[in-house]
Amino acid sequence: QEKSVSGTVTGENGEGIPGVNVLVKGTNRGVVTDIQGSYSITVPSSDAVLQFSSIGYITEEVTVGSQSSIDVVMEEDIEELTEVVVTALGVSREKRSVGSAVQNVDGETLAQAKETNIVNSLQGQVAGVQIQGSQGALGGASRITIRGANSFLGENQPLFVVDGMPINNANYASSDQQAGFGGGAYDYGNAAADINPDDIESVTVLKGASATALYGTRGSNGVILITTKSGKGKKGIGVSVNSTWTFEEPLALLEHQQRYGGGAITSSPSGFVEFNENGTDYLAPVYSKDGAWGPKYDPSVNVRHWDSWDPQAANYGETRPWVAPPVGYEAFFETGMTAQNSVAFGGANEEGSFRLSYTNLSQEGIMPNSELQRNTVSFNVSYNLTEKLTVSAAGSLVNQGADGRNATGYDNKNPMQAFTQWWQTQLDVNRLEQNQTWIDGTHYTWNPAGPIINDAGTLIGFDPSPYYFDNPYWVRNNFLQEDSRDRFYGNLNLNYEIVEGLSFNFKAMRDGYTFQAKEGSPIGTVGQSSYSEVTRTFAESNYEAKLLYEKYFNNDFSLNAMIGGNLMNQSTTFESIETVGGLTIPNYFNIANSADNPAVDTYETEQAIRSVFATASFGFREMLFLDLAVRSDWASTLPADNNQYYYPSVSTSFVFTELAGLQGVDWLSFGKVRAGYGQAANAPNPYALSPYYVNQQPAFGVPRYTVPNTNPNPELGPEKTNEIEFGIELGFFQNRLSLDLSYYDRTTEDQIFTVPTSATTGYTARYLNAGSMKNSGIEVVLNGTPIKTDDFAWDMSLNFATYNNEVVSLTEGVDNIIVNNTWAADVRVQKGYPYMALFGQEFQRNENGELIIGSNGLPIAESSRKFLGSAIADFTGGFRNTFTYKGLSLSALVDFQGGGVIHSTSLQWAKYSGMLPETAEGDIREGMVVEGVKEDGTPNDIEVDAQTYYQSTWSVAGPNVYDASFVKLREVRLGYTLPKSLLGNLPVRDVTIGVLGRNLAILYSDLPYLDPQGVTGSGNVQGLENAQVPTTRSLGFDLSFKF
Amino acid sequence: EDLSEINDNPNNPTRVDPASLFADAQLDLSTLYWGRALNFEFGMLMVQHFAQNEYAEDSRYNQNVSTFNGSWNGLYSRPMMDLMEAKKLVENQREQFGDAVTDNRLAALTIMEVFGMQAITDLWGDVPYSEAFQVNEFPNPSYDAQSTIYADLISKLNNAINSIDENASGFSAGDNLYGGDMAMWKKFGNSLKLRMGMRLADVESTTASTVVSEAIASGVFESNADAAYLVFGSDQRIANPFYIDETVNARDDFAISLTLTDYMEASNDPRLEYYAKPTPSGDIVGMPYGLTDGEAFELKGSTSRPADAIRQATAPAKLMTYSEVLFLQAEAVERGYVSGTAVDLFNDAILASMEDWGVDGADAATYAAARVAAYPSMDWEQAIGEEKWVALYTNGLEAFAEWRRLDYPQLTVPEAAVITEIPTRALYTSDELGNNANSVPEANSLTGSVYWDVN
Repeated sequence: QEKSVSGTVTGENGEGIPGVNVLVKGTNRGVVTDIQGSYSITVPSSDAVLQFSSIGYITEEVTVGSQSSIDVVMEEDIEELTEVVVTALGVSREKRSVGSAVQNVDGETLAQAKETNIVNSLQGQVAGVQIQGSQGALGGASRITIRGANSFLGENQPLFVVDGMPINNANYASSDQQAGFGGGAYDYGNAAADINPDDIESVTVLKGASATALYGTRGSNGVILITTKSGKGKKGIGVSVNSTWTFEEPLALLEHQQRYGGGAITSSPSGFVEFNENGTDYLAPVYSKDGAWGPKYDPSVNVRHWDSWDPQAANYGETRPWVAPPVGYEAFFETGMTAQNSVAFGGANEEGSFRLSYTNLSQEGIMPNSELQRNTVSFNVSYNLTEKLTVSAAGSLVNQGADGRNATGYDNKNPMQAFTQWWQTQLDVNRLEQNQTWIDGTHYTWNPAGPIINDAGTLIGFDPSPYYFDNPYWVRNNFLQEDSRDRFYGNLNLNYEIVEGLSFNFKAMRDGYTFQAKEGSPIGTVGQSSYSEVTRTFAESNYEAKLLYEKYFNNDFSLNAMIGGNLMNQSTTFESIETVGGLTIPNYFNIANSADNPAVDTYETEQAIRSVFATASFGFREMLFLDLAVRSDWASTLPADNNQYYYPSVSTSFVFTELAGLQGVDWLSFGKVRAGYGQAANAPNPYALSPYYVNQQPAFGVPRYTVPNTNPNPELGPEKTNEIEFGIELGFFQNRLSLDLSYYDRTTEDQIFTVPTSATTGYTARYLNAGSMKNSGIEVVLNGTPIKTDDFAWDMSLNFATYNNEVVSLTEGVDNIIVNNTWAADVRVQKGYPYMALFGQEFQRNENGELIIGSNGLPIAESSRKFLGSAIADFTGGFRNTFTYKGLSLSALVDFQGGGVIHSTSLQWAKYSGMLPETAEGDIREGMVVEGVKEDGTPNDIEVDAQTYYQSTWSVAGPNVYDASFVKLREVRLGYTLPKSLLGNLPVRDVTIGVLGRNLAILYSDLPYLDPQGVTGSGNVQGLENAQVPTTRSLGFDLSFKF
Repeated sequence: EDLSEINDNPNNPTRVDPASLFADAQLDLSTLYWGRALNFEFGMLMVQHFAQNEYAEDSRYNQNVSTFNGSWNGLYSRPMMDLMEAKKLVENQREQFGDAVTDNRLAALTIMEVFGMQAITDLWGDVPYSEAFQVNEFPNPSYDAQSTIYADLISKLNNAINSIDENASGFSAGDNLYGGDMAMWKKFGNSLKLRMGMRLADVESTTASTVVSEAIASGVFESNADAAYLVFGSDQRIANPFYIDETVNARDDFAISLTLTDYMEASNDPRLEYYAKPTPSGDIVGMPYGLTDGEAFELKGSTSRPADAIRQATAPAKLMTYSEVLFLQAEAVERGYVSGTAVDLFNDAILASMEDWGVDGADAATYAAARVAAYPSMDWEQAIGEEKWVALYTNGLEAFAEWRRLDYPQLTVPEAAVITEIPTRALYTSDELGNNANSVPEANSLTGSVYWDVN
């Protein structure tokens, strides 16, 4: 006999507790208390037991019996082990029954980070989760991996799932861009950044194969399960408002030496370029040389600076002293601003609930002229059509637009290339800003081809065209970059209870977007002018049907079972059109302005996976649990006769503190051991099976086709990952201290990858199933509340994870795959080494570690490149402390990485070009002696020119390879919740104000000047730094209230 | 819908006309042969046609195993593979087009293949050949000795020449060299055979004699109009690589070398103004070869670039010139392979080059007469070697091969060079060392000799 029960949940202080999960025990049926702590729920019978759970409180259970009103007082507890967690395919489970590693991050903690990209907000929060990417770039991409990389060249990032719906996280960076090259490609971010942090109720990270097997192919790198906020439990209509403003500045910048100017020292008496114009003798630096090996500063020497050449300008012919600039390049960066404002309406009654929210994100980057806007409308509604039939829907409409994103890597479009590698140190950026163009509108750069002087030393002309670099202000004001993404993702859900314990669930889900980008290089830039438009679309639909069954047998045994199926279809399109041969009319970015016929490229893909799955979970006395699951996928991208594969998984957990003998142990409140085994598989990309030809630009009216570079393989099969995992969860002293420890060991075999192949086969790569990679590690999550009184609490949380990785084998005849390289270093997948092994040359050293110096005074390099370390960390973690005193809370997160290496191309060229302080220390420019021993063993005494030294040693990677370990003060927030008494009868409540800081400081790093996390790569290529866009430190405040 | 149909590729065709592969192979091969990496940054630098005026690494022989990746991979996997594929497709169409047309098409494809393969083996020596282009059977192709590669290429060339039916058509569309004119292909085939035969002169004199005399008897180029020139397009996607380097990529790294300008000025060569562009002060000034980066940069502004005509978008890639064929014939006479008057052929070779560069006939005749007058006083190797070196300006790979074989002109190693000899081959690449590790020969030096290069 169904009946309705309502009541209020309060704390020991008598105040209502919002957000308490009220679950009919042993079912999926549950509600959440509203802001006053009130709830209302329909229970199947009076035998029903209501379970009240909330993070930070001891779970209460009450048998309904005859009561229709049940008020509960909950006892505070930091124990979180009895919490309900969301597991694969959205099934809520008591955490104690789960046999694999899952870790929750509640929405509040996440929201506190005030990161605009969900990926970045997970930094330091979850054991075994690593975040990389260009956090400083406006709207830039971040990369997330769980338990390291499994696939040599394929996708290694986890699947994002929002309310059951897989969410695309595409990132369009090419591998060249990731290595810092790539022609100044713009950083278009990762698509999961569309998930609005303000709408997130909680995040659950499923780490291992035993937890993710139900997601099939796409879960093989772990799953980030996101549950969005709903209006459940809020009687009437409530409104909540959040507003956050933060201000950004660069966190780490390269320093320039302050003793010598730019250009080069010429063979003239003064060392400057000497010329005569209209009877006057002048000195000028070598404008065209992009470096800082020029003459020593001397305030008594007056020279023609780069900005004295516009014949129409008043300062034509002006000379100024040769001194260090009053305003260095640091002043180029503006204070960035990020404003996130959201308003949400929510409410519920007996028939259903709704939540509707609107969030606006407005950002201005630290690079001049960069901005980003994102508007998100989200909804989450549920309605009980009948007592047995509930329909619900949730989704988000996202519109994002950016203007003037950062170009990345080694290119003139990225001002960091000049600032960190090829700059003239005497340049005053205020003058660069003031003199971006000649009075006639021509581009005015600090790096022109320069004066033309005849053999007699007379000036006969001036060539203003940029030699290597444009004026960075002119770049930011004249290059075009605009993009937009319109997206909708959402789902419709229908739940029908057939009979008690047996229900049917159907879910239709869709994620789709259109992304458009326009890029233009103006006439007058150092390279060819151009304009391009790109449109990409993505659409994925999933239809999922499940039959769920649950049954309790005489309170000792329980059974949860499910069978179901899913149909997934995914399609993408790509269209690009770009000018060829440059633009013809200035300031007109349009395809019609192409000098030659424009180039058009289109590409589309379609793929489908059809799946069936079944699970069974057995429980015995809330003590022993066994989970079995199997999924079978049929993938369209595999050969028709071999396109099916299974994912079995099994896991078990044993709550040993339920044993009678341990019930009385005071210090041990909870104990559980678990073990799991799971398999994951991966299918190839579309169209990897059959041969085809590739279209080329027709020549002389004839179509041209070529054989592709990658040889297709009609025999491809699925790639397999096997993982075993063990864990232990312990709670001590009434769960004031808890520990969750996991160990995993996984091997990925028969990897599908494009094996680099000798070009003499006619192909440079071939699709193969080959090779094997192993990963293992330990994950620790430690939570504690060292102090807790009525008014004051100190909570701490530590997570820590280690990573061991080895490339076990590739394929016959293939020793390594060079995934990417810079001039001096490369990163490889090499047999017997960890993934992303960095290789480069080192200098020869004797047994005492001293450099061996050749007869030319220069250290002698070893002949071949060798392993200099893996770009992947040995361990990562985060440590959070939260202090609360009445309404005041102070929280700080420190996160860290140990091990890993990084090669800095910025430092390499900053030494080559004489910009770095070490190239101008002491009197080394008068001649230096490299510390070391000569080949005969005696101390080196051979003097060498500093410029020769720095320009001869750059190709040896060793000195520019650094340990990538760091400790960062990631987050600090001081918040204050206004007491009710202060608000009196005002209609607002829960008023919270806070000041916060993000990425505040690098507390420890081996890499000088730069941020060891500032690698452009958001893909598999890691460890190669090149012209990093500075990461940013944010400071700001937030305000939230409800009414 | 059947799952496997979803995987039908909508983006790329699975069937194409072999002519479209031939068109691609011709353009790609020409672009690589005439392009930056092999021509102006290697061949032309090694023979000191060019000097680097900044970032002077290649001209100081600072190449490494990564330097040649793009060239090696590009040659094998693009034009050469397209030719192999086109041969298969043409053979499959034999019934449709008949024997004569099919054989003609195969002959044209084979002549291009031999041209490309010779360029590859001349650069690297022993290279994958018999096991190349069969990825499923031989994913790690072994390396063949250059002597056996040469023998097989000559035999392929013989078959191709013999199977040509001049009265039947070949490829019409897609043949941007000769528009399907099989008589021209026969001349190109014989001219190439002459080049190959002569390359063996110092190591297999008997074979060389036979091959060379057969080729000449069967009919080689008879005028500049016959020469194998691939004309590039004005659209930058199919433009001359010199144009792309300068105009599209905004690179300005090469000056004409002082070694060449000194030689040409000493002999009053009227081609100099067609080879190089005056500096802002109006003179043609050569850049000393092989300077350090700093030294070179200081002279960058006051030295001459290659002439504008060379850097036009539509300037051709000269795969084989008429002048070269005449020089080879002069040498064949000197070696006694064929009868004739060497100095007359030498004279004609110079005149053919002059005409090709657009030099006025009278100036050309004056110059040629002076060279002919000097001819008897020199070894023919030197006379031919030096004049051929001048005539092969911009044709860096052939100039590099013939300089190695004839050992003229005598070039000096620059002081700032990082090795003590001028390179005589290209290095096996880091990609081969990584991806074909078990096959690539251990000996891998810039100064090792290829088979036919004996001093």
